[in-house]
Amino acid sequence: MILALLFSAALLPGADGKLCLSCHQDFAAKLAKPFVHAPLKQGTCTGCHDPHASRHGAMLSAEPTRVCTTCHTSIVPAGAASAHAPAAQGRCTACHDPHAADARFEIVKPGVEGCASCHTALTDGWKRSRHKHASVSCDGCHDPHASREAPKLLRGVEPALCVACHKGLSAKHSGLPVQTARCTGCHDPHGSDQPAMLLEDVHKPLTRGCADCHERGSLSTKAAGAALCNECHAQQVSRMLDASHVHEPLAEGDCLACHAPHASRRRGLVRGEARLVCGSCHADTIRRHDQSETKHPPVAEGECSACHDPHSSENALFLKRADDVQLCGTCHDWQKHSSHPIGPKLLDPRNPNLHVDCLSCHRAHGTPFKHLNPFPTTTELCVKCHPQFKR
Amino acid sequence: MPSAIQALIACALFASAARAGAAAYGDAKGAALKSPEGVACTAEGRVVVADTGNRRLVSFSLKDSALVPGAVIAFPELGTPSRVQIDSRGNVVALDSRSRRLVRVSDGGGFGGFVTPSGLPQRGAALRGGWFPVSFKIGPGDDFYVVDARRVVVLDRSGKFLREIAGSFSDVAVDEKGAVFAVDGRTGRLFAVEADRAMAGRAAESEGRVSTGDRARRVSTGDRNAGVAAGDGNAGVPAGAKLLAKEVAVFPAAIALAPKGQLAVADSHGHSIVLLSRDGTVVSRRSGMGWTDGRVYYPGQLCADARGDLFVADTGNHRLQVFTPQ
Repeated sequence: MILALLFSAALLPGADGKLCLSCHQDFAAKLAKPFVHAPLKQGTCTGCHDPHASRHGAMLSAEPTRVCTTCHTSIVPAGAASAHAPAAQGRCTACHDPHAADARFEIVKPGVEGCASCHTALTDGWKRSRHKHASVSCDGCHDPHASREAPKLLRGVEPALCVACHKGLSAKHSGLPVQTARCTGCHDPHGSDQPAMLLEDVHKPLTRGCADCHERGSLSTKAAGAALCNECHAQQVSRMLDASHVHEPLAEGDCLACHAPHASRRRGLVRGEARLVCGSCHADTIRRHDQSETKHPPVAEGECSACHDPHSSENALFLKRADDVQLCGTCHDWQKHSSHPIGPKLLDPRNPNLHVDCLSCHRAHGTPFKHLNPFPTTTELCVKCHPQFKR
Repeated sequence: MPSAIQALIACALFASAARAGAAAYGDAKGAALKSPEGVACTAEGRVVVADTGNRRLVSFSLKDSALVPGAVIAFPELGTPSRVQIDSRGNVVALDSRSRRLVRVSDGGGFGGFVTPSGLPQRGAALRGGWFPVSFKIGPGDDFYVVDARRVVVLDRSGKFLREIAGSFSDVAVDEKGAVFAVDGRTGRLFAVEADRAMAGRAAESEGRVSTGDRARRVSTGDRNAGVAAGDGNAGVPAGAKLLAKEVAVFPAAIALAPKGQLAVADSHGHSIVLLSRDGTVVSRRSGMGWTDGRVYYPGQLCADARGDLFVADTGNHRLQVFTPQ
């Protein structure tokens, strides 16, 4: 009797998909799309869904972040050099429709539009750029799931990835063997307003070719280190060196510690974002700010040169001005005059050689406490000078 | 508050500080120190401060735990002194941070000539022919150990080149046997270089490599540099390094020998003085950021006398401080 009941519950071969469609009639439209997920096409809805009961939404037979990998086991290979976050986190439906779509692989938004859903800044920049990477889509260079060998989901490492398409590079670079160099050191692979997709700020000699700095047919330079830079920038360098405080990279003639010799996304050929360039030596300062309760915009935005001269200064800590009030006042103008009494006429009660200024109460790179206060509360700060109010 | 009252308060504070011996704020006439970056001292307690902001040197003596101001040394050739040393004969030598020259002070407190290096290996890749001293110490035999760009140059008393030690350093300390300890503020690294005086010679050019006469054992501070030891395969260069906790030395900018075979490091960005043993073990951390006596604010050069008194050019606080041994 029991066996009979069990056998009567079994579906006839090929009937499971049709059974689901008998209620879920909207799926007929999905089935009409050009690209249909195989289980749906084969009518095996139970490949992903439990037809009776489920602990998961949409009657999925497993957790939403794991149901796909029951079949697609190697989307993110073990030990991948880089992995796309949605793939690594099992959020496959961020890009794929699990049932059907108009694009191959059931991609919801094919091409750049799909990537733009998240990578808006990058794709907007690409759209606005005058010189785009022609005939290349995102997945031309990037694997949308993971890369075994390269960062940033690249399908290969530089320069091999670029050289796979771009032949005859040496001839285009004054005969220099650039096919062994790092292409993105000069070119923006996503597009640029500069010809040849050069990065936005181009070193002027580069516009004349490579011969100003490089030996003919060689990556070797005509002079070594700072001596090469000095050939054009002698006046500037001399002026910078004629100061009581000279930034160590300049003192060492290590211009390339901060500057890119060919092109850069940043003005002044600064090698990268200031937080990274300055932070390569001053990591302690950047870290202190990152942990700060209150953020100081020049530091947060990587505008170190708002306060510090990156080359040299007559002032300690390479500050651009000797007077802290005037320096801070370039942004905080109101606090120069509508504030706690400050200025050269007001002595600091804690130290007779100090005047009360901005740095008497604030630390510009951040503290664990609010308002760049070096003490936990304002009261604790105030009573350092006004002990009569200490409780 | 009227300026006259402020001035009276300042004098009272200054006087009281001088009697306490904890800090010195000005010279004998009450003229305030301004961003002093350098200090030198003898075993007997004679102290000379490089009063950088005022372009002068100011002498002090430590008497009964009080810093008593003495002579002021100023002349045009002194420039903007950032570092100062006293040799075995009691002569003062200062580094002018503008002209990058070592300036001798005569017995009378006037200009005693420059220390002009001779036979210095030129480095084409560097600026100004590769001579850009940022700090210096006087070692055994009154030899100069000059921290240049990416090397330490050893000159004899007359300025003749003896040898160099490759590496990027902020400051050095030299003991009586010629062992050199160097600190690099950018990377937080502390180096111990054992000079083999029998083997003088030119150091290898690339950073991290040392001369055949100088074996480098890298002792590191902070976690920025986990310490692959200097060395290019030169025999006797041991691999590995010793790490200290990052909080102890955030940005070590100056180093000096301290009694009991210890090293004293001025942690500029960490606003403290760190005492270490010569293998890099932290012994103690003194002071902390602040503006009152006993605290430091961007400390500069430091030195120790035979008693263990630590004199610190408290640059951000515009004063000289002395920390007595605990």
